[in-house]
Amino acid sequence: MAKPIQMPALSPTMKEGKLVKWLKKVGDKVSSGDAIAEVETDKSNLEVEAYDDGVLLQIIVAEGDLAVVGAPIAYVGAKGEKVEAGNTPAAPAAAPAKTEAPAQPVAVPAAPAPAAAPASGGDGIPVLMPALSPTMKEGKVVKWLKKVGDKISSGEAIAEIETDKSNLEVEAYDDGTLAKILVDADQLAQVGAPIAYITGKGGKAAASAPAPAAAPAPAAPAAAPQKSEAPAAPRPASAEGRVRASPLARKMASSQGLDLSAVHGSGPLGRVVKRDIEAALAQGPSAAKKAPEASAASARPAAPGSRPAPKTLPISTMRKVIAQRMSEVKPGVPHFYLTVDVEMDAAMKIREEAKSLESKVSVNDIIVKAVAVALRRSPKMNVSLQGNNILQFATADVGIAVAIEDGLITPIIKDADQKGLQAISTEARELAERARKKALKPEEYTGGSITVSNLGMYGIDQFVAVINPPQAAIIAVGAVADKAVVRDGQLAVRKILTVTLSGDHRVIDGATGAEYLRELKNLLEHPMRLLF
Amino acid sequence: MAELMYREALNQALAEEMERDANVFLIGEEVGRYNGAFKVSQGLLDKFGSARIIDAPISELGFTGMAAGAAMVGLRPVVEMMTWNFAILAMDQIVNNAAKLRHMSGGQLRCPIVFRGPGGAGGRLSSQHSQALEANYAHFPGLKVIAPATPADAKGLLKAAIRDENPVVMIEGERLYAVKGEVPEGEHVVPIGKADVKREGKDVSIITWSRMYYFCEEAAQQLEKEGISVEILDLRTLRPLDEEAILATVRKTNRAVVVEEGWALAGVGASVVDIIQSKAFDELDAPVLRVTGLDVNMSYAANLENATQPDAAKIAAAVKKVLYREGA
Amino acid sequence: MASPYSKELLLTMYRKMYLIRRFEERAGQQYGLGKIAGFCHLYIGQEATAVGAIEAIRPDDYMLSAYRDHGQPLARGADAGMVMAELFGRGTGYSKGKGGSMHIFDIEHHFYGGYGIVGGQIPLAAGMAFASRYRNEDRVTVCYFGDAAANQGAFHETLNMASKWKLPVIYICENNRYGMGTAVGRTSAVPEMYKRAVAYDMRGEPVDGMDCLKMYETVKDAAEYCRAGKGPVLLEANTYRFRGHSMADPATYRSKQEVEEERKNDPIPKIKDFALKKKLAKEEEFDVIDEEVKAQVDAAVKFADESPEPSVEELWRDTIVEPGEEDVRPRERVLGTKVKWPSYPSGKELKVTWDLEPRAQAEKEDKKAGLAR
Repeated sequence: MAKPIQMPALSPTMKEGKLVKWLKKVGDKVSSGDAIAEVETDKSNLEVEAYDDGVLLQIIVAEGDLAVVGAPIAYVGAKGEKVEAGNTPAAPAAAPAKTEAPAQPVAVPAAPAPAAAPASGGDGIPVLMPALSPTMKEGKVVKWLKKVGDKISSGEAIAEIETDKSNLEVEAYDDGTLAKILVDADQLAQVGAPIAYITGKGGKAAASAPAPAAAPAPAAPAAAPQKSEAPAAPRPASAEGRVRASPLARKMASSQGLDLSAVHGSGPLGRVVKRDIEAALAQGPSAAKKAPEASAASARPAAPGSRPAPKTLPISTMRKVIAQRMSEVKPGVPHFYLTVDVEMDAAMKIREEAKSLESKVSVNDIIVKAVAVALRRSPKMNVSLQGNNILQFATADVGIAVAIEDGLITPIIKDADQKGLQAISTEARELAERARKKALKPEEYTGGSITVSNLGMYGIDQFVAVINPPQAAIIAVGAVADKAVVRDGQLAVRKILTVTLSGDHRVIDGATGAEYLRELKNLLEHPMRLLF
Repeated sequence: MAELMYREALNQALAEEMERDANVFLIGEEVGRYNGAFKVSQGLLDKFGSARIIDAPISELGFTGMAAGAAMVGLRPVVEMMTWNFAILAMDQIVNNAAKLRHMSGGQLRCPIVFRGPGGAGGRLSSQHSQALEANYAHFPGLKVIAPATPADAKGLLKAAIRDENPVVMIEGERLYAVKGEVPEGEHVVPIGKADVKREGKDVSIITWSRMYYFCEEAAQQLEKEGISVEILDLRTLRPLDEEAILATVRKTNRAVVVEEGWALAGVGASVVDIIQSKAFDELDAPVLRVTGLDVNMSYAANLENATQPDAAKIAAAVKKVLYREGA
Repeated sequence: MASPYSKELLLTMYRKMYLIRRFEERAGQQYGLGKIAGFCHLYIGQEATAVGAIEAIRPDDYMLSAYRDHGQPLARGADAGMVMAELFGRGTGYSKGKGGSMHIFDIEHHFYGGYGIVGGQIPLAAGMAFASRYRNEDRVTVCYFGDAAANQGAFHETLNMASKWKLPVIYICENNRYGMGTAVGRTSAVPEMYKRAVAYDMRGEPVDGMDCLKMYETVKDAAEYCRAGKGPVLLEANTYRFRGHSMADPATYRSKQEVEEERKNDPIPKIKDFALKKKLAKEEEFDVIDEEVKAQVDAAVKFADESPEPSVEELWRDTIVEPGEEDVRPRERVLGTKVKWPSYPSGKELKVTWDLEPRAQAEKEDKKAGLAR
């Protein structure tokens, strides 16, 4: 019976082979092990051997033709035997289906690469991050005005960029198609680095397209630097308002029906952890009430378990440059100072009221309360620079500087905006007393939004205080003293207090500080407003 | 119970098992007339003769492969690596032969063999002699890997390893040989694959093995003074890992610190952390932290050597971090 | 002149060599059909080195080889269908399809495997020989490796130990003149591998690996030498592979002329002609053997092709020996044949009374050096 000789798979990747040469002709005697033909595979040329003794009866695949692995290329049998159609073997399972593209045998020239997809971002004409201001080192892509595949004409705006000064549009200088976007919206790029590629007309890479290796601006790495001065990547939108909590805390909260967002987180970045859940549960059901918005000054339960966590804000390019440049001039924390005189006549009346209630309220207690309420109303002041992020506090916690034997310490009155003067007074006294005894716990003197330093009792009229980091501001308060002032063209005597704000210029600007001081002055001069 | 040094406990295990089973023999550099580079085989040549306590030439690949061949036909060799740094020369035989014989033969062969010797930093030996290479071997299916911390575990695990039907890599602590501890006499076998809670605690779990256990204990004692209750789980076996014990301690304390002497990247501790995050995610109240050797080569200078390795202070700091008490 | 060899021996040698030849040709064909994959190294041309040695030793002597390892187990009595099934990656293979072409193990016939790392089996063989000495058995171990493996550290490290400890192991370096595609002389300072024995003060000699009877004589003598406790032997069998290094190798590094020249030296017709010349067998007897072997190999291919792939659960077996787990006996598992399985003395009954380094000698040396122990 005639047996087929099949196209062998001569390499693991071979799908078909080209018959280069027949070493035997029809009618020749063949023995098992004889080489009968030479085949070109995807790797090399190899010989096909016969596995049966007999005569070469028929050649199926001519020299120069291709055959799929497993297909018969010739028949061997006894002399004079007929090849029956019936014993053509089915192609083995390993042979590829006809519809599959062969694995590019050497004989077939490679098809040209499809035009639509450039092989890499490296082909085409690069669009570079422009320097849009003399001080600009890097820019943030705010949004793309064109998408990949769009036709572009020279002079057309293709993206909007945020610089340290403003937002500007980037224009294309070439005609073609936007082939690839390298820097997505909200991402940064160094000046001179490519942010996109435009391919020439007709979608082909322009002849003048530089090789990626020849990228311009040799000194400018394309990606945002990974160094410590790199800004934090903006948080994804989904993270806005997200409550940070450990997996265990989440599980506990959901099993107890507790609203996580109403639980104060004591972990890093306000992460709610097991102990916070336990504290909230100990508070009873009220603790699970939803916290108000940070800007609303409505009353919140003063339970410690329900303090909202601070928010992390990305630093804008402008903010970053300001911080950088201010630090160049004033290394460390670059301070700026604003001073204002406040009439305290109305505020002093509060002390009288307190006395009638047999309670003791100091000027400083009133200042602390006003500082906190003003802070509530100026969220831009209630911040702190922490590494690459700005932390915006959701609570108004005021530190009070207390002089102790060998230095000073600043215990914190938490949620001072929420507390009554009586409570503030009691707490301040208690804290100061323990401060002198050095009996404060770390959590009682760390954190806080702002500090009040009062040297009035020493007869100081006004002074400038140094910020207590990582806070961004400190209020220096002098003595309340009768002073001659001009009112409606008349000399008048008023109780005057001079207040000086020191601000961290990396996160706060003069105008922000000025607005805040105006608010503080208003509150102190019209203390009724503290009730709103 | 007698108090023995770690090396004496190992010596006892070897002697007992060689008495018990004539198929057991020891081969390695300096194990015979020299009595062992680290004195683990002290006195064994006189007791068992030179056919069973064999002084090998310095041919790590050669004598390791030879021992594996003997194990293929029914002997139970113990191969002493003068240190695991040198065993890198023999890795082909351990990994490509011993670990794969059962598999390649489709279950026809077995290779009951123990490869043992000191690992980790020896003390002022620089980079070629100070490597903790557990992760190298823990990576390979077909091997078991043990790394005892205490003399009792050293004895019990070595006995279990000699009796095991598989190739066992035993990494001893080079700095532990003189450590003393209570060791049960006679038949004391510690099962391979079972971790051990060496210290009970409720606030945080430290998971560790070998020499690092002592630093963890030191840290735990310091932390106890600050009111922090630490549980220490000594893995003892690194392949197969005792997942049950790892998960049990994390479920108990909700926090874990994993301490290992070797490098962080692809270390055994990384797999421990993976087990925790994938199988006990909802039990976690804090990220799991690792304390490892620094990602550098070991230096000779004493201060650099110390700085490169984990110590009680680094461990305590990590513990405070997972308890949200940093700066406290 | 009468033949020193019996007819039975000559016909056995012929049958075994032809079985290997036919088996390997079919393996090559099945590779071409995609039934066998991975690396597949054929033994065509080198049959005499296996068959001559195997006829010269006892069935219970140990043997192991590198990755060109289909020939030895077949000559030792392995089931051709189960070897082919292993090449096909089927559950009925000797290793349940887990090893493939490079890892044939037939422990029943004392064939301890094919190894894929060049030279990696050389120390294992010394260890097996050590075990025989340890237990005071007169077994020898025969270990095959290629010419290129003689440049591995494992070779040198092991020869030193084998000689120093007088281990009963016969190393057969099959010098087929090419380490994959590199002619041996291009990478070897001393291309005559047997000469390297001198460095380790052990017996080493060349032998014509294309002549089954010369292999037989040499290995027979070497085995007696080993059994007498005189130490190891290094033989260099000069041989030739008619095919490429593996199925994927077009062997373009050697000329067609060279291959044609070597094919004239084919060991199979050589033994046939010898038997005919000595009038020990007739042409027809060889024809009968040919037909039987062809049928045997065809049946082997059919068996392999019709066998199922291993079950997926097999993945989880045979990486670690579970407590109490028995060793797998392939022919029992696949064919239901009761087999004699190697067993070893237990550690309780075994007494080790010999010394690798005689104590008296050690004491004498110490005394001479003025050392007290």
